[in-house]
Amino acid sequence: MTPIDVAFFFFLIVTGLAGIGILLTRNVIHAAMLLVIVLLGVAGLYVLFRAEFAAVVQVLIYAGGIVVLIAFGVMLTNRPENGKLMTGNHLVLPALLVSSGLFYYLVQGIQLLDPIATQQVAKLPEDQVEYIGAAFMTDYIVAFELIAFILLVVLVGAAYLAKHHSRL
Amino acid sequence: MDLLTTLETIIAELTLLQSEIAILSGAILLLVVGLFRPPTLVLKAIFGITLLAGFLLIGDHDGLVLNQFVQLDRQANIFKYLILASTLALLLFPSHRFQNVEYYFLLLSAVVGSFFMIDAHHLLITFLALELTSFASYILTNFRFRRSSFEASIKYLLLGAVSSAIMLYGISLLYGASGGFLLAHLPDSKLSIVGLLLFSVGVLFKTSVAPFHIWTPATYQETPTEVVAFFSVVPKVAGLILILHIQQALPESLQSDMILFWMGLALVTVVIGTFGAIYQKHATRLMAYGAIAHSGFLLPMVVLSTEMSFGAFVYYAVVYAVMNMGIFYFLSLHDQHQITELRDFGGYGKQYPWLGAAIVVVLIALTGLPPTAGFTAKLFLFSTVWSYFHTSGSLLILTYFVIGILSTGISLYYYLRIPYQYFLTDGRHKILKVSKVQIVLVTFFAVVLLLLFTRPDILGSFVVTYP
Repeated sequence: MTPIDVAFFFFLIVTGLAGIGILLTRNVIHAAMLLVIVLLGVAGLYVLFRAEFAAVVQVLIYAGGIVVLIAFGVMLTNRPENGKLMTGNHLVLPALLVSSGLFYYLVQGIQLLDPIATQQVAKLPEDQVEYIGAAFMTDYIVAFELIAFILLVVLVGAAYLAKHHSRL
Repeated sequence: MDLLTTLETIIAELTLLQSEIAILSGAILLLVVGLFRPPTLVLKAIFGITLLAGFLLIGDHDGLVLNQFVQLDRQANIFKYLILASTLALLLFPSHRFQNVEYYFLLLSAVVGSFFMIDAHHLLITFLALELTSFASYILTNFRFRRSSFEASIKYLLLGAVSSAIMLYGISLLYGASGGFLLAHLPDSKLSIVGLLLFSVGVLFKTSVAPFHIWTPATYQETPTEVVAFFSVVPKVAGLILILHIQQALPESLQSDMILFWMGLALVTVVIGTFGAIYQKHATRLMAYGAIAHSGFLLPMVVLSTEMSFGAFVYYAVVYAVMNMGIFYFLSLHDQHQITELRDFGGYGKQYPWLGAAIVVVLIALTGLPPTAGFTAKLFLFSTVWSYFHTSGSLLILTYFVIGILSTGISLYYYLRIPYQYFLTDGRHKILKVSKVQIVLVTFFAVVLLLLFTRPDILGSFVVTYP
């Protein structure tokens, strides 16, 4: 095992365990904190695969932004009496059946591929930010503009819903 | 290719999307004008002009552009016209106080999303277009601002978010299987099939195909009726074209596997829609189940590629849009007087016999019986299915054929419950006021349906056929 392998399995196991933790915990705050670990673990995997830009974005936006948003959401929600926001699981058996069936097919599908990946991962140039910036404005221009418009729609919607909230 | 020439190509190719760009600019203009709190008439005018501009600017380019992200399909252009016409028809509906800037802005953005669903080739665009339409829909669901509409909208949002997440997971598997975001390069492997199944969840959710239909009844019941008319036509037609393009882009070996999947779901959808409708007491909810059943009828024509399937789909989609606009227009006339439950409809047939007669025609078309265009549409559908059965001999297709015809019979029962209440019972607990113009409009929808039955070739002159 090379040090890279050790790091790979470390991040993999941490991410996996934290992910299972999210499923098992009933306290929403605990789930949010475990989500931070999952996101950081994935960021670690990104670094190992030399996608530094994706890793930085992952830490900044997901671990930094989204989880803080979830924490705020929990704090601003009306609390039950004991002060803890709890969740529960419904339809455990059907969900188990569907997901294990899907898991079976995924394992089969991946095992049948030999080698698993048939194509070389494209090597990014040294200056990833410049490359990604240029790609946004050229190859991915339609997607980029669509995302911008989606954000506008969401912003308008959020402002509108918040404005009318007091009427209820 | 250096950056400058790339940019020049992009600028040249962006003009091919001028219709989408026009609607997008109109939507943003609406927001800016909205800052000055203009009267509703101004908003309606901008909304209408934007749609007309979009109408005129639809190009006739064919092929993949913008680095294979966008697929322009001249044949599918008819659906862009259909989407714009249906959206424009919303202006006919009775006015409400919630028709403000945001309302028209969100409708326009859902139209842009639907256009990109038709245009999408790259899976990233597919996903973004679906999300754009969905986000606009989530917010539009809530425009009545009642506690129950909040509930419906949150349910819709949560189910939609889950289906988008499943779809993204599917896309990531497809990326793993093919090393790219284009369906044409998929190898024939189990991983591709699992990826495709998960990917299709997002599209099937938008077209309310069972088992991804659960949001439909609750959302339709709580959404303003003209928005329901919009939901039942625009995103659904766009989603079905998306399924058509997905099916066409797949390599041949995967196509036959997927047809079984689509047809199985279409069968389940028809059954669930038909039997779900029987027990409904709320008029819009009843129509929601009817719309689910119609999804099950529309789906086979986009996935079975026989000689006549595309023409049959065009005809069915146009008739479906007219029928739904007609019935939801009728329901919105009653809705503004709080007549929503089926038993509230009792007795108005004596007050407005002509309105009742016109809506009977629309409902018979929804059932699929002569002398309306609904019958011709069903006829085209079942002959498509039958001819596919002849070439393939698949038992599933035969089952679909039999069940489809049987459920058409059953649907007569629940569609005719509104006229039954209207003419044969006596209730009239609430005051209903319908103007002459509104009766003429409902009659217009009925006449179109009769006309398309006697002269189905009228549509043919609108569908520009390209060699």
